[in-house]
Amino acid sequence: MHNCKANRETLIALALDPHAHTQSLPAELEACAACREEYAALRSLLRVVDEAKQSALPAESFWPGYNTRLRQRLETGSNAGLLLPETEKQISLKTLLGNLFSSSVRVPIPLAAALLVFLGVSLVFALNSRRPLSAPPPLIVSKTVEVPVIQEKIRENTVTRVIYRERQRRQPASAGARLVAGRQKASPMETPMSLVGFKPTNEVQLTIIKGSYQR
Amino acid sequence: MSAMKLFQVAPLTTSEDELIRRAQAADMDAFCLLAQRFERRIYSLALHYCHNHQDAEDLSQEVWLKSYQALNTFRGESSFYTWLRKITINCFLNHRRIRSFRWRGETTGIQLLDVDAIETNKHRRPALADSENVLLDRIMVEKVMQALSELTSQQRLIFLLKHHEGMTYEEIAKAVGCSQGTAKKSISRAVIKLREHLNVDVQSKNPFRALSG
Repeated sequence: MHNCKANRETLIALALDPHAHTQSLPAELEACAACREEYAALRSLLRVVDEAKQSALPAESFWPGYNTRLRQRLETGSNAGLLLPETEKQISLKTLLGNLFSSSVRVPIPLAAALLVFLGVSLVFALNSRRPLSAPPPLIVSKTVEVPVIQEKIRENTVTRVIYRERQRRQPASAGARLVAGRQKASPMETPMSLVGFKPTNEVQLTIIKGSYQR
Repeated sequence: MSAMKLFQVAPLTTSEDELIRRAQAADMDAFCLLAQRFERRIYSLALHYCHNHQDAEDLSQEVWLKSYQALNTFRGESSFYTWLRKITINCFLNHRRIRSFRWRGETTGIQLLDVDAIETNKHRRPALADSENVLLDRIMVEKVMQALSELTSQQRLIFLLKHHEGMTYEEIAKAVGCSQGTAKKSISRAVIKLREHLNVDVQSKNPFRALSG
């Protein structure tokens, strides 16, 4: 089936081809009114561009001045040594260097992406393993350095407890004595000492004093 | 219409080969004579590429300076113009990389032909002698230049090489440094854009006039 849009490029190529102007359109395009019209429009367009090309040129009076300016530029360049004709050798080297830096290589996108990923991974590995494999073994130098060591004295706390204990005397079990005994029982001096508040590092110094004493 | 027929060339009193030989021996006069033979073609190409006369002059003269420098590499394997065109394309491509042209925004106006200039060309197109036609000419050229400026620089260059220079797709691809497919696509897009922009009247017997009007 004929598709006008698909044939547009063919029509453009035919319109641009100077040899095709004398020939007729292919039968398929000739049979289609839209394609014929499109072809005519393209031919007209290119004719207009041709006419413009001719009309846009400057007048004849422009060229002597143009040539004078060109001559001046050539002479100025030559006098300054900037326009010395290059030898073939110089140019080939220049072209080679130019091509080396400006040439482009066509690479498919997936391949380019794969190459980029590969380069990225290589870079990461290179950065991570920066230790040289063939490096000489490290030289070990031993030196004795005297360093003063400050030893802190551990102060141990000495906890002193003094316990007063009444000497037990045999006394007649009188009423008064029972009263004294009852009072002695109630005396705080006779209460047993506990180890509450002691720490394992504390030194316990216990002094037991037996005898009578004044309260 | 053949591109060669549009341009006048310097009188062929001395053969091209002789001029080339002398120019290669650093004879500047010979080189200037050689330049005169092709300056209109190179200038026209530059003008359509960069859309203003100042840039066109700079660019075309740069081509001549480069070709003077590289003249010793011309070995006659191709025609002198083919060799020169290669330098021209390289200059255009370098120019595109180095600087942007002034035609967007700053100097979009085109220095068009003077009435006197048209008068001097009367022998070529006597019908355009009157001032009305001169004005129509100006409008038409401005429209075409404006349409060309809508193309990308690569599309414009490839279109000019194909349409103005009549190069094959293979030659264009080699010269510009792209594939033949890219060259074909660029030309198609360029023509489609130009057609949209210019909106040429097909029905009119003279689309050139229809466009100007």
